[in-house]
Amino acid sequence: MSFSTLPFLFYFLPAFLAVYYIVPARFRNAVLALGSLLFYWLGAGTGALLVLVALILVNFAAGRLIEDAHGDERRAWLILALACDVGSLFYFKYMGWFLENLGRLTNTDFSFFRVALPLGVSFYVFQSIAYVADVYRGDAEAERSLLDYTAFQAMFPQLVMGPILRLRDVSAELHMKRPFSRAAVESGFSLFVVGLGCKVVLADQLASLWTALERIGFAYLSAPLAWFGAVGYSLQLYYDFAGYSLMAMGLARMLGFVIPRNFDLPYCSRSISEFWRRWHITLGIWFRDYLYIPLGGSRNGKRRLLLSLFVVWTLTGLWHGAAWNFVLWGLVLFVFIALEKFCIGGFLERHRFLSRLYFLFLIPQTWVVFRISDLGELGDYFSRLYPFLSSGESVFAGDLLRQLESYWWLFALGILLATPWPRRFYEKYRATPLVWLPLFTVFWLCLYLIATGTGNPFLYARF
Amino acid sequence: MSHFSPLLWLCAVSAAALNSFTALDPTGAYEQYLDALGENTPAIAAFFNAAESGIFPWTIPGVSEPIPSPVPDLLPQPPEVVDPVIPDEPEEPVSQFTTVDASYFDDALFLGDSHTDGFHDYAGLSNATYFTKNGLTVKDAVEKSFIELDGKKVTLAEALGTRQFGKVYILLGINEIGAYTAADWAAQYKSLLDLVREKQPDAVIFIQSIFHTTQKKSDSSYFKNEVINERNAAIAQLADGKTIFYLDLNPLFDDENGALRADYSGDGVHVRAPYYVQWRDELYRFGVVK
Repeated sequence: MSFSTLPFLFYFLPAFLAVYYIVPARFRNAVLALGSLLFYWLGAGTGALLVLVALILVNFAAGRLIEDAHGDERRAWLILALACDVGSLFYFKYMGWFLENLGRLTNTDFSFFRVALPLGVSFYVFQSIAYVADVYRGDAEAERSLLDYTAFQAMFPQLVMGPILRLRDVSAELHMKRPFSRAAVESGFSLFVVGLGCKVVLADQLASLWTALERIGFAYLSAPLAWFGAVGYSLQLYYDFAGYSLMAMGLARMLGFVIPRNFDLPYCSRSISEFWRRWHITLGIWFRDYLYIPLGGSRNGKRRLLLSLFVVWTLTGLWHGAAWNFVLWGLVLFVFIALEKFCIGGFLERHRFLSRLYFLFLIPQTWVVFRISDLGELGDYFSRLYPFLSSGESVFAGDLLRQLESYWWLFALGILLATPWPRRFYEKYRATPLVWLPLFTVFWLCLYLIATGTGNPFLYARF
Repeated sequence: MSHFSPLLWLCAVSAAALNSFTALDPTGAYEQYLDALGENTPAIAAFFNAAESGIFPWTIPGVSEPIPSPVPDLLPQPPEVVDPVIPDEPEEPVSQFTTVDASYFDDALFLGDSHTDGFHDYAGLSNATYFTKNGLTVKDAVEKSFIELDGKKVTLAEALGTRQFGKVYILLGINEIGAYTAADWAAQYKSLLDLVREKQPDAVIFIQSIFHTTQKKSDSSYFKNEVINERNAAIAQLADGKTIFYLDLNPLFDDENGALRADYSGDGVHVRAPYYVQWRDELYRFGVVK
């Protein structure tokens, strides 16, 4: 069940909040745990629920076993848990692709292998890995209560699309009575409406632009339209994912939890490296703490640094999807991040304007690589971004103007909201009519768009 | 001291109120919209759907036109349907079609949805007139003000009153493929044809077939080729072979299974840019010159 649907807004959310706050405070973790499993079952089905429950049980048990054991036995339990976690992720997400490629190499037909991807598995597997690794390293105390652990792992605001939580993020609130706080519920809802607006008004409406480009055929776009489309997709993806993360933060706050921010004005960055500290922040932190640093990171010489970066970025790409364009995307990011670390970092630091130009020129192109799975079509798109690479047949010269009339205001709004000022305005005036009155309008506009709309599937829903 | 932000309470109360009001439906204005809702959809969706058709709580039910039901003996009995796609059969009566070129379309009107929109951009017939809208249905074509003339939005009836066209090409149907029965929809199409004929007494009308979708799209969504074929057969009956013709364009882009060729389409429904000239060239073969 997606947050931007009427059944969620009118049935699940009010019912859940009512039960959550009516029960005595000591039962709230149980309500959260069971309610979240119900939420997941409604949105993902019985098979996926079984996978989630299995992983919860395995990692919960592993946490306790690791903490209670000594010496090598601790390591054994860790490895067992990691094997289950990584194994499940590989099986559900990558096995099909692996077999398809193996099949091509060996001329065998593996197409009999078909398995459904449980919704959100990439997120909650990573969350599980972080948990057992933290317990092993002593950064977290293992949860003793299965209900508490389930509440942490499965809490519905963040289960399906993140942010990826670590126990320390919510441990304090998890173990205390969370009394009803009018301020928390109100501010949480306000944040939720901002996120809803980002997704429904901006992202879902911008999505039609990319659809129109697909329809024309990437090889037949005029160069201006190709660039326009790349920028449009950059905005669409941002508001879709950041919108969802804001909704998650808002909902969590309504339940008494403060979860980490996942996006921090990423398009204000001046380098690709900085961008990845501001985009999908919890994923970046995960890769840093659980892969980059264990691999040696930046403290073991240049070669080790390059290797760590290479592994981290290839896997970051692959985490986003089981296809070669994601590997390519990860590699592109690696190249620029390595370049920035070894060569041009200082230059970018010192030149504010040029670095922004560099960044804003590159980032939409990286998103095109991210978006187009078919490598042939990806090549087509780039041949239009750089039109001297192609013959430009069947291009309609007025194609950009046609799209501009529908999308210019979405672009303007999207670009404005990507700057720091709206957020400052929101934080300063949140409790005044200057903010809640427009948000009330946004809320109704969203209801209208959802009810009558061509709901666009959430982009990260491959997960 | 925390500030009181009424957003949550305002949203909750107003949403609950409107939802209940729509569900209770005291004036009966929402009946058909409530019936049409999916299983777990809150009533408020009906409110918005109705509002899009101009129906509000104060609208008296029955004033808005109901969906026309088919009355079999009122559908035209075509004396002879000329099938324009197989002109090489030896016993075929002398075809009234001649091959024309771009200038034939100087006084042509193209009425349609996103397919015609694509045709507008990529077929290179900029001398013709286009009344198109993405998402257009036959019902909307008759009822809605979707045509922009002189900065104003007008209905088809108004727009057709502004000049006389020599030929009118219509391509509609994919957007309402999941709604109505074929017979009901064909009756709506007939109303559209009657409207066009009334305003354009001398124009030749070409009913263009609804394009097939790719096999993958047809199998995985409700844009099914079986339904498309059914609808095309129904509107083919509306041609009279004298001033209203049916053109089956699907052979242009179909694969051997009667679905849209997958390599021609980026989204399973529309052909990509270079193929629109093939559609145009096919239209060149079916000029009707009086």
